[in-house]
Amino acid sequence: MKVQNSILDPSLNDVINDYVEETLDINERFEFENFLSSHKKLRAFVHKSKMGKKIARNSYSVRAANDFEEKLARRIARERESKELK
Amino acid sequence: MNSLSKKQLRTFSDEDLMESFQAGYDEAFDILVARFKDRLHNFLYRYTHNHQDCEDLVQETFLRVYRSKHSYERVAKLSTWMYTIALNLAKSLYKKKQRMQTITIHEDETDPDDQPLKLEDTTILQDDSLHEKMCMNELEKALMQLSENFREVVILRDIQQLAYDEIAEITGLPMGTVKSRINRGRAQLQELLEHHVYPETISV
Repeated sequence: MKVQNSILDPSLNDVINDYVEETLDINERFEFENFLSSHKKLRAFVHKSKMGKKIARNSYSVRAANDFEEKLARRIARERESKELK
Repeated sequence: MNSLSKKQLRTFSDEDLMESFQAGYDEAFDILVARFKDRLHNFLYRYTHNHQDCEDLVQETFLRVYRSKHSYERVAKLSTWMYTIALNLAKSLYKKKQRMQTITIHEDETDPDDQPLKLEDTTILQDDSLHEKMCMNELEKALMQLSENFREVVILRDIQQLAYDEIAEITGLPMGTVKSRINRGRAQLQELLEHHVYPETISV
């Protein structure tokens, strides 16, 4: 794994992404963390991205209302009726 | 064509269900609605921030699936096709609302009916759940503050937990752009919320 020092570098973007998604193997992770230790700005960015992921995954989920399917079935029935009338 | 029972249909993959629906089994559509209704609500709510708009968009997504069932081809995952329809509808609504805002007279703060809808009930909460609720509200606000380019990929990845290749297909973006936007969107989300304490995100 060769890490280039530019946030615009696509391969660096891939590595950041894999690091945050925790898909790097142990050697790659070690190499990347070693690289980050000497690149303060990049390290801060990666840290923010990692925290941002954790925050977003902490979000609550929104569910459909109990009568959602009933309402949809009524709309479909209305639509079919009006087509049949035509 | 052998007749299929609802029990058999329930064991089908999404794509097999869609093919059954195309072949005339309306029960297959009902099963797809049951499978996708919560996922689509969870996705579209992040665009609308309004339960009624969200429900309308989910209904419209399913109506389009119903009407255009024959335009689905198995080359794509069914979920990709559905999310693409939902995302396009959400973007149209967003644009429409933006246009409307430019001609809308400001909200009347004295009118109790002219207030933003509360997300959940307003019953008294324990300290912990109150803190959690405040955090969630801040998170929702921060998601809305992200630029549309960042918001859509962060929602698709971290809230809907879709795979990267599916996100690339839904958004029509190259994989590199998807990854870069997700990295930057997540970082921006953290910046927007850095003064809020999320128990899971405290650095050691």
